[in-house]
Amino acid sequence: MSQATDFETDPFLRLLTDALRAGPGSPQWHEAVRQLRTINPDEADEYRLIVTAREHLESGRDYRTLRAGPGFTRKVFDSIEREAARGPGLPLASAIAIVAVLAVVGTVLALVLLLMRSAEQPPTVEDLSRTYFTQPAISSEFVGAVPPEWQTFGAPPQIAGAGRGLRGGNGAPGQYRGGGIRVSVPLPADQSFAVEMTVRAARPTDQVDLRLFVSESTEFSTEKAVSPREFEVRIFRGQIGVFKPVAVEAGSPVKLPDGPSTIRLLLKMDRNFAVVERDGVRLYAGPHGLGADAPRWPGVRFLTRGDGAALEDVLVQSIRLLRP
Amino acid sequence: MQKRADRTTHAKAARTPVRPPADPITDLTPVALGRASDEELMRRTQRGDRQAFSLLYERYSSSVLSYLYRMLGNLEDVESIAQEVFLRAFRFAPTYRFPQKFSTWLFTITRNLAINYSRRRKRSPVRNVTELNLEGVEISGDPYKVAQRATDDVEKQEEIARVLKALDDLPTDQREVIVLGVFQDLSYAQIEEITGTKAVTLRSRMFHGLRRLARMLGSKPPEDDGMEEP
Repeated sequence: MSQATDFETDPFLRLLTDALRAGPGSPQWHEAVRQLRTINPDEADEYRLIVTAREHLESGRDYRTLRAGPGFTRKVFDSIEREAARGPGLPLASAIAIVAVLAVVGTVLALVLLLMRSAEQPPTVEDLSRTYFTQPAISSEFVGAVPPEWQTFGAPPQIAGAGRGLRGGNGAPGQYRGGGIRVSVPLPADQSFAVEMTVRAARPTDQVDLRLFVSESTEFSTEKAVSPREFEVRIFRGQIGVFKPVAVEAGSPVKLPDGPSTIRLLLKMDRNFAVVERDGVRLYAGPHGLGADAPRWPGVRFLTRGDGAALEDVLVQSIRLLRP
Repeated sequence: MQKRADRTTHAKAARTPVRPPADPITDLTPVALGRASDEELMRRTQRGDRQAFSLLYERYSSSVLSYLYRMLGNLEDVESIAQEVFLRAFRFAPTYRFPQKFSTWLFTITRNLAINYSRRRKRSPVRNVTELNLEGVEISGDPYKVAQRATDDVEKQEEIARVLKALDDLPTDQREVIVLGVFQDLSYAQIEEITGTKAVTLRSRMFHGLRRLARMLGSKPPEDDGMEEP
């Protein structure tokens, strides 16, 4: 039987389908019936069946013919009256199109304004606070030797027994000595970062003064191994305090539990601001006081006095340096 | 066949209103308005002439209702959808663009609403047929009664009824082209515009749909014609 393309190319099939649509009595019908008499009888038989079916359809044209009753017409024109009474409002499609265009234009304008504002205004401390730092640049757990990503300075810190964490190096009796670890390569001032540190504190002690710091340089002093300008988070005598450069206390110190506790500190920093959180609770948010263009050297320092088991009362279990 | 053809020609002539060319109408009398083409009436509707729209409604309400009934087969849905068709035709009259044929434009709206209804499958509340606001030659849709009205020949009545019953069992795309082309007198070009389907495909559907009906009539099992479309 015929292929689909025949309906495009076969003149008889075009004529026949025209006749089937137009129906008995049409010129196409008469011509198709005339040509049917001239074609192969086997093929013509099936065509004749189709023609007969079409004739029956013609006889049954009234099948499912409906007319509108008065009630239907009244309903239609009532709704049209209501439509007309609402005034010459925009067609729904046009209204939707206009609203859509306005929404798109509004969104674009809002984005442009936001971009312009963000280009004009420097980031705020709240911008920093809302920034999530998820990409670890360094991730260290202190269970063996000090990982190579860190460089030691001052009195070298040690790994506590059984790999329980990093502790301060031995100090002198009655006098604090400093030492710790810092990153090998500084971070540029315009790059935001965060340092996450987990500390295990057995009890409040004044034998160990632990400081998570960001300094502008690696010029550490001989005894206490401090640099001239640092932003610090300090755990000492059962309290946590935040200090801006030149030992300016930022906010009030927060008391730690008397018993053993694990403390998770998070320090976020950008060009101008620092945010400090302890276990998700904000301790400080504001200017860090470091030079706007000075390099950033994050690190951890222990100031220890004496030696022995008391030095293991404050241990750094892990440190992660994170990028946004 | 010739006698039937003559009768059919008369029937067609009676169904199709005689319309003059689409010259602008300046005479506002109802008689002149009644002679206006669909497209001219639509242009008047666009200018807010509700009388012009009511004439279009008179010309097409039966076609729209019958088309919906033949495609959907549910009187309750037909009534609510058809009301929406004419409301939309009035509401969206400003979107009609001459020289598109009004019938093509109207059946595009009708078909779209019917398709939306079919997708939603949201049936109107079932009502008694006597509560409906529709009238019909045979509102029950019984093909035997239609066939009895068409001829006194009992054998032919049986054949007509079988074809009409088989029509409901055709695949939707084949039934649609037969309903639009045969029952609604729309050309392949118009159906192409309404459905977005190429005319050659519509011809194929018309042919294979009728062949399927013919085989039912000839007591031959219908073959699957669906693969032959372009």
